[in-house]
Amino acid sequence: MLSVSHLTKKVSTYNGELIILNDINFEVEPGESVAIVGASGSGKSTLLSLMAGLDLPSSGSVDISQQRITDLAEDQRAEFRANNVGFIFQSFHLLTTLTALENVALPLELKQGKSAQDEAKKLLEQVGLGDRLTHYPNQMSGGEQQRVAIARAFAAKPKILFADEPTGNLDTKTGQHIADLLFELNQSQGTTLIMVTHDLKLAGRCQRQIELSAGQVKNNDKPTESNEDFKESVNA
Amino acid sequence: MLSVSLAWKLFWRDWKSGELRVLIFALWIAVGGLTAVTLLVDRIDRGMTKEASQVLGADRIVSGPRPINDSIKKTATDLGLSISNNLWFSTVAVAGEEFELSSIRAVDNFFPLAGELEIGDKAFAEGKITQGAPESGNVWVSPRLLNLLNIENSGQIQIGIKQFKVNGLIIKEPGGSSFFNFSPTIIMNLQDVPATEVVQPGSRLNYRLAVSGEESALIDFDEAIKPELDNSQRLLGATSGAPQLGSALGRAKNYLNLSGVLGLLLGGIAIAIAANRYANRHFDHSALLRCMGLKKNQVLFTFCWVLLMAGFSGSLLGGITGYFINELLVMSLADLLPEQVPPPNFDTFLVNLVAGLTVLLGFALPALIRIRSVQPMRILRKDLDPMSLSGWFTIGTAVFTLGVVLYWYAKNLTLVLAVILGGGLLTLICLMLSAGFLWLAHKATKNSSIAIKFGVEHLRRHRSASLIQITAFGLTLTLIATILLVRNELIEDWQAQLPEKAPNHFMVNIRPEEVEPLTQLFAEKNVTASDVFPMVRGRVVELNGKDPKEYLGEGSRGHNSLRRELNLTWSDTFPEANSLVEGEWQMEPSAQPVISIEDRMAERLQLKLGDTMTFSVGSDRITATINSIRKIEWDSFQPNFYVIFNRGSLDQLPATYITSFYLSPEEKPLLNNMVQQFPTVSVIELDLILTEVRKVLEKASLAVEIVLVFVVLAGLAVLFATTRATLDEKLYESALLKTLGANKAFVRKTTLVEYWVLGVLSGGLAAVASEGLAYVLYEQVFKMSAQFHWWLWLGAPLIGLLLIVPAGTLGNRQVFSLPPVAILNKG
Ligand SMILES: Nc1ncnc2c1ncn2[C@@H]1O[C@H](COP(=O)(O)OP(=O)(O)O)[C@@H](O)[C@H]1O
Ligand SMILES: [Mg+2]
Repeated sequence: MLSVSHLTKKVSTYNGELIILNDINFEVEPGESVAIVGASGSGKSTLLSLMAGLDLPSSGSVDISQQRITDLAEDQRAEFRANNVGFIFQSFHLLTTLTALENVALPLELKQGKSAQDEAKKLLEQVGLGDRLTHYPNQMSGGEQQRVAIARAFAAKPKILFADEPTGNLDTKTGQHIADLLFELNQSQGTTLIMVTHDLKLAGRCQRQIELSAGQVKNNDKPTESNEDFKESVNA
Repeated sequence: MLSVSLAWKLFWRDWKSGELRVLIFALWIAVGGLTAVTLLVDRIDRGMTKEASQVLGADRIVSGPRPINDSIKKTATDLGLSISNNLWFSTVAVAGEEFELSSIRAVDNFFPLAGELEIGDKAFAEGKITQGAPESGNVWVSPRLLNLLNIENSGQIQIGIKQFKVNGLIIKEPGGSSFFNFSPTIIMNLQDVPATEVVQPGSRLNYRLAVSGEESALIDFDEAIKPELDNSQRLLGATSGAPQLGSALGRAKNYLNLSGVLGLLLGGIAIAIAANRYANRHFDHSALLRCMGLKKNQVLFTFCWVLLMAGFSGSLLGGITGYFINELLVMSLADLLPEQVPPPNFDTFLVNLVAGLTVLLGFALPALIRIRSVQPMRILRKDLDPMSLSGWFTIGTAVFTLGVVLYWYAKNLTLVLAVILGGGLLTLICLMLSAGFLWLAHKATKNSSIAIKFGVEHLRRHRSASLIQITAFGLTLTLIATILLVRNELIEDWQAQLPEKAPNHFMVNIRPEEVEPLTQLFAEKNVTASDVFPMVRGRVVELNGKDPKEYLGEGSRGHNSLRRELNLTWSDTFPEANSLVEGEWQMEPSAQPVISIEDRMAERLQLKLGDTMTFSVGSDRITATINSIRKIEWDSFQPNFYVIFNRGSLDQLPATYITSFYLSPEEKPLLNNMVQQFPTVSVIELDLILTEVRKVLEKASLAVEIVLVFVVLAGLAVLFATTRATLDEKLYESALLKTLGANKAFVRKTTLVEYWVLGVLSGGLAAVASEGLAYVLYEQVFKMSAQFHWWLWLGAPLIGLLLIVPAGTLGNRQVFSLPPVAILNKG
């Protein structure tokens, strides 16, 4: 499904060259859920952006469904994203000028080129916001906004979903709810999920964890026999 | 199409949240001003063309020495135009012993196609508006002819070999009020022409086909027949000059157009600033849309559409407002405009709408390009701002857009370049002055209270925004001040410059035997009059023995005097308003012709002392040597002549006499005496014309002032745009101040100090700039000595304060009202 090989990202700064990611390699199976964990500044978000084709690496490659996205031009990557990729962000990033319904419908409409209000409505009902369709983001709480964002992420039925600290801006309880919702939808749609988080508990709910440290993969857990076991080990 | 529906949603929401308000306001004002101005100017133009056709007696005249081709007549009728056939010639009308050279207008029953023909049976009395030709065998004549031929109305006159009965007097004919119409007019039926046997091979005839109808058909007509005309034929009326009062209206038109352009420029600046802020606030949107798979250009188009929707609403509002203002202007100008102003033209309306959108896109282009270049990565790393564009690019696109729009209106590249270069230079000077002022303000407030320093510092921190504000507002105030200065002083100074008892009447067509009794009458009644000058009319045919064209060579513009008949006079000394430039004052009476000519004419015709000019006067040719060159004060209201002969050289030619004199309003009834005693002279009442001119000036400046309101509003739009652009930062700062314990009054003061300083600085800039402009205008254009206007230096900053401080308060009301938590939480 997703294959990252020899991925390196360097940037030049005032103090010379900075290596953010250094020779990252791993693979993700279809339908798998993977957590990328690590301390703040370890390069998680950078890795995510490279995998999603938001940015290009200094060297190395990313393949999604046999498509080498690191070879694509910018607009081709955009088209690829429209058809295959969904996002959930730490700070929700809803379009403040659109209603909840319009926000959810947008990616689907971008993909199909026609109105997708019905599907959007169904999804919003699934995330429990069936009565908030015409509300604007600034009329909703953080948790509600993130639920809209989740509905939006699944709306276009992406093959792969990237989430960057999806619960980072929420209190523990709301975060829990959001995570439940996320995994529920992920399960039912069979989407591949790649989630960046520094919340180990949340990471534990994924099938596998990749730990980044100083731009390198420190620990790449093979899928455990039983998800429950892993959860226990984390919680312990 | 998706980007359109997305854009529509974005637009609708931004509209409601007020995001686009400044942008729409700026466009509203710019297009409103432009529409008011262009609709009015277009209507004036068309009105003047209509009036010109009243004078011409038709919308178009095809004229030539031979009968007009039938194909041309057919073209006209095929296009649905009405036509009238006329034949003009000069011949002698005879009654008993008396005879007089007269202008004959032989017309058909469709005469006149435009303008009024008024026929009566008593001179100076009202007549009846008449259509068509006199019945066969009858003629209508100028009242003057009756006196000249010594007959009564209903008397008999002979033209050629045919007798006619006079059965009407021409009170008014289309174009008939021309001052120097020397020979009396006779209107006869075209059918009678053969019977007179006047028309012989070799006679000088003027065949005229009058054409009138729909403007569009007329344009087609012009196109169709131009290739058919030969060298001797002319098409009149297509772009004929404006009538007498045209030049004052013309000047008002220039002012109006200038105001329109300035409004558009200020609107453009406001748009650029507002669009930039809009873009800045939508970078996240752009990044998000890109994450979701929108391509760069799709994002660009989406936001283009949003702006276009905003632009369309703003322009439409502007168009409608402009329409009403234009109606208001027409009302205020009512006395000046031709009696029937044509209705506004819908095309002009559309043109302005498109111009508004063009300016919007052109000035917002840099902002749009930035929005397009937002990296999707920004969604994860807030600090990734899109590339900033070079200032030159921003200025370049703005100037280019403005140039395109101006060219569209003016259709004159040189003019557009001149406006842009001149405007650019003025702007540059103003920017530099603003920078100097800002520096001064900084120095001057060094030891002031913290609130004042805070305000000035804020201005310095946003240097480019501040400079733009000061310049934009300074220019607005400059325009207002200059117009006020020039308007007042022009009207007043011009009156002041006329000497007491300057002649206010001209009398022409005085016959030689009337000169004596007339001067006697003047002396009797104590009337101040200029000398009485003899006058013959002649045409310049040679310069130094050569054809003028050949003498002057290709490319020379020549001089008016080559294109028309000149009034030639003779005298021993020069009229009062003349001063000698070169040569001799005294002109010896002699049969050997010597002349004195006007200096500018000499220059244009490349003539110097000792050169010769040849004139054709009637059937004579006279060659004269230039003896002196004079300078003439043309606005002295004395009879003035380009060419003065010595006495003795023209005496044998038939001359009429001309003089000018002063009558106070109470003495006006004297005119009746004069007309009774000298029935064939013509009096031109200059005082009436002068009053008219003053009225024109006053009305025209009223129109300009109304349009100035738009310019001021456009200046305010710039202010709002810049205020909004720094609003977020202000909100944050003031919230911090409040949390740190500053009270409301302090926050208010620090925020508003900035606008006080802006008001004073832009007022000061306006004082400097308009004083400078007025100086240049007076010294260079009006040739008057310039004065210092102390009130300007107090008034301009005061007006600046009065406009800017309230606007600043309005633009920053959130800063005062929002509680600090609301703001700090947002960050
Ligand atoms: N374009 C860039 N220029 C300079 N430094 C960068 C750039 N992108 C990322 N970094 C730095 O690389 C490091 C990793 O960033 P990031 O991937 O956001 O880490 P994480 O998401 O794990 O907190 C950080 O120290 C960040 O400042
Ligand atoms: Mg991060």
